[in-house]
Amino acid sequence: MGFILKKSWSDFIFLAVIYFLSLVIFSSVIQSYSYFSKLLDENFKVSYMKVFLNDDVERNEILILRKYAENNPVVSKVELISKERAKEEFAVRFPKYAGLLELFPGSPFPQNLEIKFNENVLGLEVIDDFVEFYSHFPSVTNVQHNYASALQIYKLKKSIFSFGTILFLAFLILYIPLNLSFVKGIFERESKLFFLVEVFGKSNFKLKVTFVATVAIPLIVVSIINLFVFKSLAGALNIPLYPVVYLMLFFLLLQILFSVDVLER
Amino acid sequence: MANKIEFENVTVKFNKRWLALDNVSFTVQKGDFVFLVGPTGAGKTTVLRLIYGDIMPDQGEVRIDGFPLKKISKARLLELRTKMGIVFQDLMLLDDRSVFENLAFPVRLKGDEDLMRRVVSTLKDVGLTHKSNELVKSLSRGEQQRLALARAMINEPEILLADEPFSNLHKTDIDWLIEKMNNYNELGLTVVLSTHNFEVIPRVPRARVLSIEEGRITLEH
Repeated sequence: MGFILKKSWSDFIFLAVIYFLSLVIFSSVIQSYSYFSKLLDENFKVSYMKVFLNDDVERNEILILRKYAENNPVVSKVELISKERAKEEFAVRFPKYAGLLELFPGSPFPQNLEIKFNENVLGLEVIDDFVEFYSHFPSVTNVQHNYASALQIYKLKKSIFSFGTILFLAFLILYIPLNLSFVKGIFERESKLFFLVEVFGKSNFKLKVTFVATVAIPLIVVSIINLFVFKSLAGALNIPLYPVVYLMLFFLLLQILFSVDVLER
Repeated sequence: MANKIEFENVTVKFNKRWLALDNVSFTVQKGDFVFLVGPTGAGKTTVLRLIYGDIMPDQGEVRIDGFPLKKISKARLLELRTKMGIVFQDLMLLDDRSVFENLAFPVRLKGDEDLMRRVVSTLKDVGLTHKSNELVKSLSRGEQQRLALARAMINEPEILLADEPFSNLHKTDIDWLIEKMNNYNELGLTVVLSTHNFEVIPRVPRARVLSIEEGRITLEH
């Protein structure tokens, strides 16, 4: 193993550099995708629309507004938040400013309908329909939602996926012949050894296994470094590491296939 | 025991077109010294490759001790090869390893525990003791040829196959080499040697000569 490494050292260094760049680029793409997926999931858990109402809104009108939302399949929950509850929620969310609320005799916040959506709403124009519908009611003072940011993340996630897929396919077209040529070069330097082993009456199976293992060494070393870096990143962003592990296993599988292919030829 | 080599109506075609051997038949008995002579491309190397099972005949049979090579298993073929010592035309030495390592290589593969003694005595036998630690690429062609012969002989084979061993050698090296092979043969080793150097043939008076031209044996004596 040491002999093969020593003899083709420059090839192994080059392979290691290719592996490193490839793994870093694709791990980054995968982890970005994971991060935005997670962000989107979290965002959509609280994806909401708030329909702010006048204090003097009639009960019948609230029922109409509420019914419109409840009948829509992309809505998971509709809740009327009273002025008092809005005040309480503010105090919970912003305890530092809770003291300010004492300056007001009642609740300074308007009552509102809080509408929570399920994930099927993504990519649809339904939110605009909601906004347009509610804005026709004189008792509705304002409509707010976080759909725009969620949609941005959704589009970003889709772009990363498309970009990553195209990049990966383009990369494979270049990577397969390049890697095969390096593995072939390393093998050709050792082909005499493979031949002689059989000439002297021994099976060269162990030599083949050693060759395959040796050619995989740069990838294994680079993978460990990559794994270490992306483990820290995954920890910091609270995203899973397994896609990176799968990517590395995929590269390892490719490498083994290339080595076996060169040996069998 | 790999003693008897039989070729029976052997035909070999490369790339299914080029006829390398055409219906060749001959037998080599234990202890024979056989010169395969003929011009370049006549089929001499093909005969040697058939004997050690590197290629198989398209038609006919090559038998070693009665076993047709076409029908034996890979394991059995490898076992048969341990009875053969081969000197290749391009020597096939490990250029970036020392003389000692080149000789130790087949001994290690065989699993012989007496490696050191065997290598040292072989080095002495071919007069390369003083070159033991030198890299192969620093040796002269004559020394490399001696090393190739030593490597072929180190595991005490029963058959020696040598492909054009006298190519690009000085007369003194050729004399040494043919003398050495003659000595091995006198001790019972079967030698099959290809050459286009006819001058060496009279040096082994008991040798048989198979003349090959365009894949056919044209003369045998």
